[in-house]
Amino acid sequence: MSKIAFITGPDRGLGFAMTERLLDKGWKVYAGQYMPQWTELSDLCKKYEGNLILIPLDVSKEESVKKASEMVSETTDIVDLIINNAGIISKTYNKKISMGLDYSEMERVFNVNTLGPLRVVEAFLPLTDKSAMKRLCFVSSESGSINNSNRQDNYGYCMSKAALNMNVMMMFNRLRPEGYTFRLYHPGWVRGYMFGKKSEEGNLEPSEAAIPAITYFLRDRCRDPHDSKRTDEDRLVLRDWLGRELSW
Amino acid sequence: MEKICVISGADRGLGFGLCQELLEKGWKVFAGQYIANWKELSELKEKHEEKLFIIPMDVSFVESVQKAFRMVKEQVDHVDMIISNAGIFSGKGDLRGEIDYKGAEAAYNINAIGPIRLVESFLPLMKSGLKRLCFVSSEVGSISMAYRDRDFGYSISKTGLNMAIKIMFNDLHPHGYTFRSYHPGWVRTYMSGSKNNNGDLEPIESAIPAIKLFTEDREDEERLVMIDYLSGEWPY
Repeated sequence: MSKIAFITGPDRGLGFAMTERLLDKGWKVYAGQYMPQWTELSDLCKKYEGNLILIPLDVSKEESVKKASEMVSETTDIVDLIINNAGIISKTYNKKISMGLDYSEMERVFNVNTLGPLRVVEAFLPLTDKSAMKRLCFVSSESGSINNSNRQDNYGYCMSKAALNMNVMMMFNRLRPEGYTFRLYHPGWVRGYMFGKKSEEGNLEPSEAAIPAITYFLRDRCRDPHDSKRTDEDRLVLRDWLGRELSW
Repeated sequence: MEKICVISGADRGLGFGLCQELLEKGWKVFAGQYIANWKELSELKEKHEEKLFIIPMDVSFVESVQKAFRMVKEQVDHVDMIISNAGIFSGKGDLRGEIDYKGAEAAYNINAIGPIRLVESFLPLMKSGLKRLCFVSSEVGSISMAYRDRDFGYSISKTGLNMAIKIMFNDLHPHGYTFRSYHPGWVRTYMSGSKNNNGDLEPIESAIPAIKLFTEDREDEERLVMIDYLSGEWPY
């Protein structure tokens, strides 16, 4: 039987590419659609008839996330994998403190990037509890690493990702003893749609970035590549697309 | 010359202790008051008529902090030190219970964004003087040391704050600003509304090492570190 995933922010960019990659590998995907006016996902539905199911979702609203979980549970009892991918950045990200900061934007970015994944994990627990895989994946960012940070701007986004890393650490503390496994991931600098239209800057196309991401999300983490029994699931790490571990 | 400090969340608990200790050391203190009907600050004012100035301040609104700035600016031509102390404990809950998301948003707005509002608003008065920016953070924001598995809101707000301090440091340290980040220990304060009697320390017991850290020079100003009340260093 095919495995079942739920993904947030699948409309375009990395989220779309990861959705396509999962479908390619034979997964059934429930995709939390945020922008019904964006047609790429509907086109993908035609190609993977029956295996891609679109669910309306706004991770910034509790009611929307709860509703999405209810809709998914109408057609499945189990979700094996959740990919928390939805994220936003402020258009005024490049302001330093003396240039006038947009505080309401900071609150909005936190609500989506940091609290969104918590809402999703909480609401989907009844479905993931029934899976043997119990895997929770989070698209974070190197910009959330306080140790590595050399930025002088972009408060809202960097703070939201640092706070997300802490959020995931606390979820790990809570759910790892119950058998859950975690992937906290920096996908690289992707030419996605974070600023509304497709970015021309960046190192990776979304379809390129989706390959190491999905590989890392699906495979077991082993301490010893020759001995799959020696897992490394009892430690939460932030890894990038080349497998490098980033500091907090 | 007399030194001048602005502090947020001065009404009670650690903030009030920090005011007391600074006044003892002869500083002029602008105490950001959040709760108008709390008596302790007014009583302290009677004792330090010339040195203590109470200004209304709610760090969750930029207009309130800017108004406080204008009130301070009417009285002094510069500020030596800011102590960002105001904080709340909210956003409780367990993944298998119910998480208070509204409370988590409030904690972030006050604990993580509030200090940025405070620094941004008062920077125009800090072009001369000691140029010291102090932040009351907490070990709960340390990801590598985190053992908690619930009450997400407070912890993630302090991690967010630690990142905000780092970005301010990257920007302002090259311009001569020096930074202090402090973990006060478990203080018997009013973070959840009423006084917590279970803590390890009375507010003044944590305020004394805090003011020592905030006012004394450090050899290692190039590195941003969180220091606790026993002078121990905390990782992120």
